[in-house]
Amino acid sequence: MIEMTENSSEEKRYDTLILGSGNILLGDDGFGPAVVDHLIQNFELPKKALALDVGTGIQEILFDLVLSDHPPEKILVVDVMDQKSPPGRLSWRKPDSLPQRASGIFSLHLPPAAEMLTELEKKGVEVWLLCCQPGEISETLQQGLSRPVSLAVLQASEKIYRILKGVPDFSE
Amino acid sequence: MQTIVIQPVSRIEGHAKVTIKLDDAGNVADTHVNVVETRGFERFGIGRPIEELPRIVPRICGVCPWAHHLASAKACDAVFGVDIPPAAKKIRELAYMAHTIHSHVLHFFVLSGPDFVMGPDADYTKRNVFGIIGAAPDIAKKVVRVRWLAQMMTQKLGGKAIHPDAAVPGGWSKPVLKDDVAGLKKDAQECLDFALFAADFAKKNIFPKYLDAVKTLAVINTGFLGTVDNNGALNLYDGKFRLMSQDGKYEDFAVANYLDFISEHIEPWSYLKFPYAKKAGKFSMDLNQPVGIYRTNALARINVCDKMATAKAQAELEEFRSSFGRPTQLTLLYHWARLIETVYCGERAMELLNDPELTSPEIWKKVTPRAGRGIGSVEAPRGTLIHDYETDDKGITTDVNIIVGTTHNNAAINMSVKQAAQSLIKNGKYDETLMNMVEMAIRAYDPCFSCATHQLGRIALRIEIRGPKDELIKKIEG
Repeated sequence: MIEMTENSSEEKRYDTLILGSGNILLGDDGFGPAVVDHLIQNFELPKKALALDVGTGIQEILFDLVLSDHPPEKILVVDVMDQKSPPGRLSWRKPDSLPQRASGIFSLHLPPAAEMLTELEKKGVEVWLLCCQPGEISETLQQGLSRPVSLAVLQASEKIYRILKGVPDFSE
Repeated sequence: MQTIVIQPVSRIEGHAKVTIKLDDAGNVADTHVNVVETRGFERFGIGRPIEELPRIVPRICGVCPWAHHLASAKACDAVFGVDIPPAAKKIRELAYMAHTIHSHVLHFFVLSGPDFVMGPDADYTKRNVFGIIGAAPDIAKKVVRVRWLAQMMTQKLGGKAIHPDAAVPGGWSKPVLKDDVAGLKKDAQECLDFALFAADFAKKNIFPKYLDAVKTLAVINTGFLGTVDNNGALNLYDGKFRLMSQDGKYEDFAVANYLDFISEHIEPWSYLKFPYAKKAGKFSMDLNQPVGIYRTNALARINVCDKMATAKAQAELEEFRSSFGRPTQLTLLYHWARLIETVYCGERAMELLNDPELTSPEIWKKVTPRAGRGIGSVEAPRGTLIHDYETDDKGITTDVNIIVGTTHNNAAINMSVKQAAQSLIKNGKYDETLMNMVEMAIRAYDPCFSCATHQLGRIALRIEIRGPKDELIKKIEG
């Protein structure tokens, strides 16, 4: 992953990318951005790690990473996923455990396609998804996370931080 | 009657379901593009300090955040009655040029490109961005490089690329330093070089191969809406609206007067409204005799403008018009028009970066809350975007109305799908290639049906074929 430095034409590279995905205007769908915000506010991230609130624009970034010659070594996607478990329950998943879709489906607003994440793995990127069971996601706009999902933000942030410090914890 | 359902339409933003109804003979009787969108943003925006809206609206859409951000800021300026400093206008426009470059490049090469580079009849599993990597790896690398440069220009100018917050009522919050200009120029020049390469590449290698499809697929007759400056030149950030009828006659009007020229029609099968030209007096999507229908987005802008304000884009426009005239109704030419605009954006970015006023520290004027109404607009990559706010005397919003580009195109998208389906599905015979051609008709508009929830694993491609009694005949899931 590359990002601009003070000189626009130079590139800064990151080993690990944390992508908080979701819409903060749709209740628990804002879990991913909330985790990234909590990480940035409360933890000192390693210099080679970049945490990004990508909102509903994650597909754009994944497109570019798939096409890039310089993807990061590791990508952690933080998002919500219905796993028929109690709200706030966290689980680690690999791309091959996500529901497969037709290979042609690449809509920018959709959640990350398993195929794209798998393609990144083929490029040698270690990809993990930290998924949280949401409570109710309203079809109309409302801000704020439910209480169990708010509590999961703290837990998820600690899990990610341990990975960044080289003490992986993929337990649920 | 059979019904074919495609849901969602792949490679467009947001969610849409295409329903194609066949008659007993297996020919297309009717089509609907049904939209599933997040509802209630206008209501969500009411009762808030108006200055919050430019920071909130980029969250509506992760793909067009800059368009919403700037249209909202302009509406706020209008509510407060402030004419922002020239430097602030120029910085906003520069950031917008960069945003449009990265958006157009993405659409042409990643979303729609596979249809053309791989071909609409290519294996479905190859007709995607991975196919592009295999077929044209050098171009794929350039696409990534240019998108990165353009995104980083917006970050350099505004601090954040994805969810911008630098535009504030009264101007801009971060001056451009003289030391930044050289680096930005280098980046903008590289974007411009790529835009010129892309236009040339497409004219030589892509469009000629598909000219038959361009001349036939999804072609409908409509009017067009776009923004022009006082000289009639295309402008993406500011200007007046120009509404052109099918015969090429047009009328210009101030953005603030849009409700005098645009009405909204409602269909019971769609959440999305159908704007139409008010002067037509009625609304009809009859393919043979459409009434009041107009289109927005790149082709509309290219049709309504008298000229391009920059030299290389003007040369591209002249070549385009020498082939297709003005206005042209060929829907797939949206892609070509997008490339002309990308050249313009690169040139305009360079113009702005060569303007010494860009680095003026005077980038903000104080604003005071008051009761008022303000309307802001920009030409979003996906069409004319209008934000219309009203506030009370404390600056709290009492009404919010937003018309996004895809809403303007709602009727036209439905008509194009019907035209495409009618020409491609005969006597009940259809295959994946035909279905993709229908999808291509939609993708030409680069639609954004808003952001639905983003939950992992929630969406799947579904094609349903239903019989006369709505019985399920066949279901295909990706």
